[in-house]
Amino acid sequence: MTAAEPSPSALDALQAVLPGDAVRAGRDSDAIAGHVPSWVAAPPDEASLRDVLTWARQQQQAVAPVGGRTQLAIGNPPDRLDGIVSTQRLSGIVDYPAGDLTITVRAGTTAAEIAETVEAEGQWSPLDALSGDSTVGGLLAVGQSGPWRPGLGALRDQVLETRVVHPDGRVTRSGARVVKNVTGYDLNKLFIGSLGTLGVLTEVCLRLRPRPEATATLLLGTTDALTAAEITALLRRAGLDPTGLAFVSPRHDAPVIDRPPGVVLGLLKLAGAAADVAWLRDNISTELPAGTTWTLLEEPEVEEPIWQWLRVHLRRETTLSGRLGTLPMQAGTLAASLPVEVDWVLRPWEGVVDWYWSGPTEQAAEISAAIHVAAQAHQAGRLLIHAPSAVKASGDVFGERPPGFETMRGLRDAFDPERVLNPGRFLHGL
Amino acid sequence: MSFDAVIAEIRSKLGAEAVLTADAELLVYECDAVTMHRHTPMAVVLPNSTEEVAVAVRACHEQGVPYVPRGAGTGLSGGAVPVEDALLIETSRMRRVLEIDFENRFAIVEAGIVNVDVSKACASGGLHYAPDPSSQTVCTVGGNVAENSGGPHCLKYGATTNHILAVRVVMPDGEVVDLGRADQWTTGYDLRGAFVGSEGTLGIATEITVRLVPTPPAIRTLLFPFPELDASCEAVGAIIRSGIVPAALEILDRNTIEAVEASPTFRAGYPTDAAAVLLVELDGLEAGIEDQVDSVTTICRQHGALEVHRAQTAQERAALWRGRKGAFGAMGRLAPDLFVQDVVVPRTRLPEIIREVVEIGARHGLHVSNVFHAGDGNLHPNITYDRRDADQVERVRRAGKEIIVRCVAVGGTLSGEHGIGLDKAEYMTLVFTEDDLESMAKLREVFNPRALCNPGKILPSGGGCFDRQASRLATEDAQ
Repeated sequence: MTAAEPSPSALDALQAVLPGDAVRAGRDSDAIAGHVPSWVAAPPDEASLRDVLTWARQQQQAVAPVGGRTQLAIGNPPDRLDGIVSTQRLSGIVDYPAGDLTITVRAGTTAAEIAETVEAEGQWSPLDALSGDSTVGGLLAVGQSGPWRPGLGALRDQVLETRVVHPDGRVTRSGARVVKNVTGYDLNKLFIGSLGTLGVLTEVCLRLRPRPEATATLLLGTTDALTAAEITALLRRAGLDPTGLAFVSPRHDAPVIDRPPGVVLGLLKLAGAAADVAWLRDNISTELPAGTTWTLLEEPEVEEPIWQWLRVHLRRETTLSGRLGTLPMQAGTLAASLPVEVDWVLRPWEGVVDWYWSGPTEQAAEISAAIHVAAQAHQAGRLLIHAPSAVKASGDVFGERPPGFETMRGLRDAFDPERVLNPGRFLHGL
Repeated sequence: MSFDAVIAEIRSKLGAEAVLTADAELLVYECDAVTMHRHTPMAVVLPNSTEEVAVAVRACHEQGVPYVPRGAGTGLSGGAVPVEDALLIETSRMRRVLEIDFENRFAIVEAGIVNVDVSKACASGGLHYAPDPSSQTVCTVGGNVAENSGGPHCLKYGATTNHILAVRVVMPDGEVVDLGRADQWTTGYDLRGAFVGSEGTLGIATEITVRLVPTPPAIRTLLFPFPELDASCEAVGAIIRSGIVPAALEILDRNTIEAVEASPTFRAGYPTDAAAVLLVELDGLEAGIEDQVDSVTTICRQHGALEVHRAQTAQERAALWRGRKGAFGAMGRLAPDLFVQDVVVPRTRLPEIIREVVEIGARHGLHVSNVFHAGDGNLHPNITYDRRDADQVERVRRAGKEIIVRCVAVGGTLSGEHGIGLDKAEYMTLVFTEDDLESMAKLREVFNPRALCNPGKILPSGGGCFDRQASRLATEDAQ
């Protein structure tokens, strides 16, 4: 543990910048990767958030922006952490012209609130968050999509406009609240997945889609990851595209009745016009290879809980966990090549394999190394999420330096030369 | 800087025929599809590969010579036109399909490949490349990446940026870098996302990995004539609100219909007595498509559609689209010059904005034809004029600006798919603050610090702290 020494002077100084109730001393429960911040600020509006960042820059404070604190495991341990800036009070709907199928919200608005708001108008939120407590700002900063990405599209493709506060005090907007736009450089793409290292998101406009007329889920039972890959190939060749497809390795606690040991559980989501969903359901069930069992869930009250369970399952904390990314048709063999004691969730349509292992800390390095080898054999991208601190410290959680790294460093230097925001947490010291 | 040294260097590595320098050869490169902006390049390089592009870029970099990337020159914002003496690097010889992976649904193509040839190459596998700008039989995928081009079908499928998985880029210093990955895994900043739509100012795309999507088994193309333009816009809003996501929703107004029907090349059989036609394409599975057709037909009739034409054959579908995709070409018959706008507004503001566009055109005594991607709120008011008439040119300019100002006032913006280029740079301050533009300038400066790669585009010149590249060029010249 490398907790920062409490710094009363910084706290006092910040209290002069912000309204009284917007800042407090850091506590152990505020820690990020063992670093306890000296101060925690929750600015009530964008202007005071700007004041905090400009103050932090002048005072050479290292700041971690946070939203719902649901994804803080993602990233390297910080080099330094003096304070936390929470966007939770910057919440609420700014503009929701339902007929435009767009919604503009403040960054601290939770995924659950957005979903509830748009569902009341017969629309679907594109956030597909693993936790309803996640804020839209946090989800975009991390940039990971949920299990319905095949149908909803990647998160990066749903963002129409952003407002960002930069450490130099500039508050900037890029994009517009329209669904098609090439006016200037697309800076939105840079901010998504940047782990808050270029600025803090304060407002976002998202593209929405109509809620489909019908949905259904097929629960599949199959033998292993390779058969899951075979199912995926059959569906792709036949043009039977699902809204979501995930296979869960046998050790799981899914609330399903038929759960014989050693069976891989598949969740296949269908959504669209009622006639399309019925047609897909019938054709998929006949395409499935011999030995695959299936059960149809059509009532929302039985369909929704199983996907809710998957989202919880995907975000669970184990001794070690991570995510790998490769081509769709390689993802099954990648999952199959993981050590047998490792659990996984395979999302073949996106080429994503989430993996989990629990066990004694001293074995963690060995498991992590085995996963690294499997990833390299498939040219997979990797992200280490949960790990004992020694394992996290032994390499970079984002894997190797990607091409264009020097350009990335140039961007970080241009937007945050003093490394006010999340120093050390993004890849390779960015 | 020495052009001669650059040309000598490129010819020594690529061969003499890879560089055009004769006046007659250069003349066709003096403008793109916006004839208003003209500047003949000093020379044109025609590379055959990524490495040859890199040779040219390195030579420019070493000698401090500005250069402009160009695909087919179909751009509608002056993006491929030099603003000063510069070399043009044209990718038209690089048109190979390098790989098609049907199972993983991507293709790797060279930047100079014509848009429609990508879909042709992968049609046997039941896949296609979705972005379909009207110029798709001519324009290049490299140019589409530069402009983040749209097209009618981006209503359902998204614009170019949603379909680019990776780009091999010759950076402004001549280094070759791969941005993005075919599997969509992203590590670090999404440089691919920032590159797409950067109008050739961050580097030259040479090889592009595009996403392929399944070709829908069922397609229905319908045409609804309306007695009023307003009513057709209202019908579009109602269709969007109903929960149907059509593949395309296009409106052509009376002036456009007349231009199309008067053209022997583009005549589509549109009813010339209608105030507007709404072209609707629905696609998806056979199972549910007729329900969608019925819903859309009901909505259009409720909004006053006079009748419904339904394409029964592939030829009829092609005819309905010929009029839409040929609309710009057809307008060429009306007057010597065409001023094309590309404004975009929130879709619910479409009816009022269309009324205002018509009113602004009338007030300035101009002939305005509207043909637009109604489902996206992306308008194309086209003003036909004669540039030899100075008074008319001034009225076109004033009307154009009024349209932009009105669209921005309702939350819209300058360009939905054509780009800013030279054409709209002066209007950027209407939608962005100096701080916003400063962020854009930072991005450009990181990729393109010496401002040699397509200078003078996107960001307005003169004044403002974002205009660092202009001042730097001035300083270099002074030295």
